[in-house]
Amino acid sequence: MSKLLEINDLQTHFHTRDGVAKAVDGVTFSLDRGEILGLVGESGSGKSVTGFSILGLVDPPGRIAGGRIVFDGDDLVAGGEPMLRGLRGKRIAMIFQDPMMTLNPVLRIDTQMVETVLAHERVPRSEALARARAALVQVGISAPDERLRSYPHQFSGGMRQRVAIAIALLHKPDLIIADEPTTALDVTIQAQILSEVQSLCAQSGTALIWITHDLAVVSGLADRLAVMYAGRIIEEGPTASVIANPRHPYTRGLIDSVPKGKQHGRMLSQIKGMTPSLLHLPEGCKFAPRCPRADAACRSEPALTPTGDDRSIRCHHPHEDAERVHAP
Amino acid sequence: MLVYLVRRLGQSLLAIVAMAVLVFAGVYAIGNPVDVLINPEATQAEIAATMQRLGLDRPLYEQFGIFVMNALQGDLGTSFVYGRPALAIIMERLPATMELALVALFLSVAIGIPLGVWAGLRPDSIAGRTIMGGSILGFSLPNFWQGMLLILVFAVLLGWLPAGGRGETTEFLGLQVSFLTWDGLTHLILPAINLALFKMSLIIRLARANTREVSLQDYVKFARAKGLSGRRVVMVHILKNIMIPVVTIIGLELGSMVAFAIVTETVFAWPGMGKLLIDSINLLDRPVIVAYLMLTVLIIVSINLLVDVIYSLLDPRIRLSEMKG
Ligand SMILES: Nc1ncnc2c1ncn2[C@@H]1O[C@H](COP(=O)(O)OP(=O)(O)OP(=O)(O)O)[C@@H](O)[C@H]1O
Ligand SMILES: [Mg+2]
Repeated sequence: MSKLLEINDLQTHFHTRDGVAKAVDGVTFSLDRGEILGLVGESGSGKSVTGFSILGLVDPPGRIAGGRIVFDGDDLVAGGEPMLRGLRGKRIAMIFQDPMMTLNPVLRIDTQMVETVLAHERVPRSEALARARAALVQVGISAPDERLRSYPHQFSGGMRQRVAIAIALLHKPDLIIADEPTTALDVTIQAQILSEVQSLCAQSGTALIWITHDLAVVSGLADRLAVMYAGRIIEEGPTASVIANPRHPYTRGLIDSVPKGKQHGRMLSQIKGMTPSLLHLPEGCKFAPRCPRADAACRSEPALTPTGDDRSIRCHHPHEDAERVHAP
Repeated sequence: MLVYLVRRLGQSLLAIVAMAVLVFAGVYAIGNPVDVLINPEATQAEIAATMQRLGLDRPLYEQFGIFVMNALQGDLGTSFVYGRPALAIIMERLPATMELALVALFLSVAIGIPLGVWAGLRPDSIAGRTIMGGSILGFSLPNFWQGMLLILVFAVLLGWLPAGGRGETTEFLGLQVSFLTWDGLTHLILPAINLALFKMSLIIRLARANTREVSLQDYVKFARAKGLSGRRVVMVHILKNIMIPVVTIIGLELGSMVAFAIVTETVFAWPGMGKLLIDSINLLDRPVIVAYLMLTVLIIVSINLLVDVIYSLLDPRIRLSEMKG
């Protein structure tokens, strides 16, 4: 069966006064139906821009400068606005990071849900309302009739994110792009939402791109991981394999900086240096200035290379499988 | 909501009382009230009668009490020029001014909001820049000069529209209005445009700034991510949010439109309250001036009250917090 989503060498550039910021510069990954991909990277690595590129929601001064995004056989970059509008919310839904900002403050919840149904289907308002109500029940909101008549400010952050998830689920989409949907919530709510989204997607066979900077969050959730650095995918593969055996020095650095139970009392290692500015990226490998393994070869940019075991790495000097020594 | 209304009503009353004190202080307390309030051409007997009626021989606080009592009964003095109650004369002129102000307001809103939203959605486009440039012009031209220019071009050079007056009027809801007759409409267009241009520029700038701000919000992007049409995103999600500040300004500006109609009415010889005020100042017809000031304050305060109510209806957050408080 063909892939649900295939992104190939995506380029999304922002033309700013200070120069061209290549926020996404060579992103390649693919997704099967029902699969969960964790898209991980530091702040500014281009995760959100990748998500918005898929939906065609990159606003000026940004634009997709190259590459292909093929969704279920259709090229979204070539497809244009009418085609994208038909897909948005219908077959590809998105959940945003800050639930306090995603719902319109002056419109009631029922308005915001019903319009989503009516944007894609010609059904009577009463039916749209019934679907909205069912979606609220699905995400665990009690007293849905009362909630439908409320305004967003009458909800807590966790509740608002549930409403946003309910909106995303209205059309049972093939793909949900979740852009750090739990970052703004407190830890207990985070865990709840995480497991709810996971089970809802499993139920309906919805594929999920879970964007996060937190490896710990996504490692229990995702089937596959894609690690981004400076607008590029630098390592990609099945979650368990990548976590157990990170081969790119950056991925390894990320994993070593996550606290683990067994390492109690030990110093957490950190990746030295800072995220480079997109306007002043080094020649060659973008991670080289911060990389312990960098040498002269890294002055040329490595390509994202499949390594045979269903994984890909963009590195001249990846860690070998055997090199990984597990803590006793 | 009720608590909120009562509180706002109280504030409005306070504003009216404050203005009454000011008017009283300006007209009664400063200078000799006999000179100010009694027609200099009156006979000795008339002077004595009026002084007694107005209580000018009593202490100041009593005089203020009498002024307020009379004002409450609608008695703001008798015009020297017309020999009739000042308030009645003003009220006769009120419909003309209100018509001019409302038509001007309608023009500035009906043209200003779409242009402002357009410019806000496409700030860097040629149309967006042109609209902004035009609004700067509308902002900076002196009102009387702009009015004379309109007369020069459309009345004198082109001869399309009359230069002044109100034209033929008909009765509408018991009031004399111009906008329902063709002749009246042609008389109304130029002064209404003249009065509208400044406010239109204001609304354009406000709508543009708010549209820019709102369209960057996550909830607009989320609305687009839901697959809504661009039309619905703008007409519902953006417009409803920018209407909150715009309605406030419209309300405040309607009050000042009534007040600043003076210049336009003078330039276009529009027979409204503003023109009456200028005539009265020229003729030193003080009761009419007092009546004008009190009535204008009353109008502005009532409009502000109305705007606050509309505002709270538009913004659910205010409605709730005020209901609690
Ligand atoms: N509107 C914009 N104008 C200019 N540059 C932009 C704009 N939006 C994004 N960028 C550039 O794209 C880069 C990547 O942004 P993006 O939001 O995708 O990062 P992210 O990986 O989602 O980070 P975070 O974890 O902070 O959300 C930013 O560092 C910035 O340089
Ligand atoms: Mg982001």
